[in-house]
Amino acid sequence: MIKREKIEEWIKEVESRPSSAPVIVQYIANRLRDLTARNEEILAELIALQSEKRVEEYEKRIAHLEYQLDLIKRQGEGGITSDHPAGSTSSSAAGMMTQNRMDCIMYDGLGRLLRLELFQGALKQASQIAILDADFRNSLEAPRLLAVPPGEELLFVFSSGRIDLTPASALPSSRIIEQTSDPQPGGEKKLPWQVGPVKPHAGERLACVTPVSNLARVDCFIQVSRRGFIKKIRSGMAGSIFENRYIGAGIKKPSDQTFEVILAKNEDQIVLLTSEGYLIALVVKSLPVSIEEVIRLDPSDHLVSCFIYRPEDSILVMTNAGKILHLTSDRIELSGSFKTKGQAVFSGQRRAQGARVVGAALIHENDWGAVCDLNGEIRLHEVQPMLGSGVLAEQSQPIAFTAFNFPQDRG
Amino acid sequence: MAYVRVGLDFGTSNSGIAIYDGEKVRVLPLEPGGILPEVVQTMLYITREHQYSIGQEAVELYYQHNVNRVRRYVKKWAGELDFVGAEMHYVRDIYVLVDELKPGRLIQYLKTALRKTDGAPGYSGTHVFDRYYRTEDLIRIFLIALKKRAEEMLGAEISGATIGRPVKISTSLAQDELAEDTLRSAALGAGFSEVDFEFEPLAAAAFFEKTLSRPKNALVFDFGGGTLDIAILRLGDAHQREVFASNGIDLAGSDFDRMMIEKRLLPSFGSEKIVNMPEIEELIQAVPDWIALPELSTPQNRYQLERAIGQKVAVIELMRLRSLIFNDLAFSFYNNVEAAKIALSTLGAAVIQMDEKDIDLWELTTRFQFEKDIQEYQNRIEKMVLETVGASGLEREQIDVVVKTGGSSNIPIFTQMLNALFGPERVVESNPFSSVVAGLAIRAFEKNH
Repeated sequence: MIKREKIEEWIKEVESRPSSAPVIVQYIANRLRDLTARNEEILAELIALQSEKRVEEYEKRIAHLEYQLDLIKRQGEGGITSDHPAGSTSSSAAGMMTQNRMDCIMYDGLGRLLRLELFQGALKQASQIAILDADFRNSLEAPRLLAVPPGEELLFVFSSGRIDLTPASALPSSRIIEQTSDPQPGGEKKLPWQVGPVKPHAGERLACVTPVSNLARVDCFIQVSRRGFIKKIRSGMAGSIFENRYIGAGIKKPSDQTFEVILAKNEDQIVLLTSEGYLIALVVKSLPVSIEEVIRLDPSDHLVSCFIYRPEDSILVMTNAGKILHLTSDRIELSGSFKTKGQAVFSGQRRAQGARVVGAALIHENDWGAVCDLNGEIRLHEVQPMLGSGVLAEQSQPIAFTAFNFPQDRG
Repeated sequence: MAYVRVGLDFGTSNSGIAIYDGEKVRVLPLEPGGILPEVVQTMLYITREHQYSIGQEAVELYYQHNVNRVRRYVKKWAGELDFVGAEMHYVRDIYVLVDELKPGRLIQYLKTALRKTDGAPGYSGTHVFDRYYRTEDLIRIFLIALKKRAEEMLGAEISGATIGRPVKISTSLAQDELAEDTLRSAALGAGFSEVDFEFEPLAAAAFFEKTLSRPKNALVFDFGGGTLDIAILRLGDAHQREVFASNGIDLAGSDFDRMMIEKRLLPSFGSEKIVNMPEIEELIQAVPDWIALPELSTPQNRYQLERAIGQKVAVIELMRLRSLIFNDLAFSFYNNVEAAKIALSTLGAAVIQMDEKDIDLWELTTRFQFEKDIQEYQNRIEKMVLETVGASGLEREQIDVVVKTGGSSNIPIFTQMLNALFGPERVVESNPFSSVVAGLAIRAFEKNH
């Protein structure tokens, strides 16, 4: 509160030094302007409260917070009940089971997908887990692979900017090839693509599938386009995004399309990797909130991988020839500027010979890698032997790759 | 690698290093990104992992780590108390609440701690997480970092330093000697193999002396962040350099900041509305104390404040106080006050403003108010100047030149005081932030040659 004595002291200053008058008037005028603006804001708030608009808004916010709480609870519980044959065991046994289960999901732009339930104990190095009844030789777009815990909530992002949410467990699942029995040569059963509860509308393509149960613990969504444009959206906007079922197309050029949406904290670092083998690492905090180009790509190039990077981990990069590159933190340079070409992960000569990146992921020593090749064959490989040999002996022409570990290995 | 000897100004607010080659003084820009690159804020930030940073880097890390952070208090065993009474003796465990998420501690006014190196009730050191740092350790760490920066800039190893010291670090002679010994040990520990001292006003005089064409009687008025030092000496002839008198007082810029808070800002935190609530009054009275405020963020204090807020007593003011204490805004608050004080040296008015969570502080303060608030200090300083002139054996008219230096010497009321005592034509200003360090570099050179 400004008391009379204080005002008198201001006047005394002006009387003793008239040159102070403009400064004092300026300060008071600025304050008055700020207070007037604030007063208007408070009045607008009051009107919104009186007209109950604000109540509605708060109800929506509460609903969204409850949704996030639900996601966290599901994560904490280890997921939704499994429909694995052993799913009828007691709840503690089911909890244990979800600790060593992951869902491997493969999907394509048409919204077709395949969900395979993986149990840690049943996996073998370089084991074939499925053969998809599809031929990717003539396909222009490679399928995408993703591994998530069973209780995960998935955000489906379409090329139009539309989104949809569904639990991973609601996707139709397919049985993996049993590892215990000896498959008869040529007798393996090819799995067909499945159609899930979330499908693209006419004229749309499925751009990406993002796990979002971590939403309450991050600061933002990062929407990345195939041509290297990025937009950062505050996670506080999640309520309205989910309610409107719309995140935005996230592109500047009509020929472009959303490649990935990932969740990140402000202090995280994000890595983008292109088909022609260029990599850029950026601090999330520095990313733009409007769509901006962060990596300059050749006309023939596009992103093939995008993930949160932690300097204590390393990156496994897989090429179309099955060659494996291991990038440790000393090889990753954090970029301070946008629109650069990024750092090359292999030589120009190999690029000219046709080497392309098909996928990359952050890896730990106990991780598994899932690889799909041109024949639709999906195999699981332990990361350590992969790094040791430097090449994928069992699959000569990989087209998609992801790495994962089981919840109980995460410590 | 070449070896050099430098002048080192270890100031209460700012520090710096300079080198002199016999012709030209070079004050090293040790803070390249700062507004004044030659000036490093005397601040030390120690993280939980015992990593150290100084100057602007320390401040930035502090802000980054602390403002609006989450706290988690845990009960930790601190020791035990023995009760011995009539036919009874029992031991009781003592626990303290420790914020286990606290990422680091920012330590300011290291030099002021030198005044109190004799222990109780002063400041002999502090615990930073699991380690105890003596005053000497804190200063040593600061000097190591400062020396490292200077060596990188010079591309040479610094072998020795002439370090500035106030004329009186403490009023007690024993304590004064102890303070100098502490500073010497810290400097030796920091890797300066040869260390000597020079009074700061004499260093400022040495720098000013370079501008003289003929010998003069000079009064050096060195008014910095922590002390005011006055020296009267004959300058301009290296063979007849004579110190007639010197004096010092532990009063300076930080005291004016505290005065501004006490007189102008405490009502914003409820000082005029809170009555019969001793716990809350104690918190309010701690606001001007830069050491106490950061330590007040305990669960008990939060409980007391929230209870008072719940009782609807001075709600806005106490919410401000709560935010100031619990969002680690103390440092930002003192910076705002200091910035306003500095602005009042050139403007007739300045605003102390903070717009943070639950704090909307706006205080227009004028030079008239400021001068009224520090009038008592001005009287003391004027008396000290006259006493020093008296002790020098010179008459006021025999002082040829009055050299002002140090950040606080820019405060107009003191310039007016010196003008009135000696005449404006005799009062000159030497570089307020660099003249001491430049003079120390000259002294370092002279001692080496």
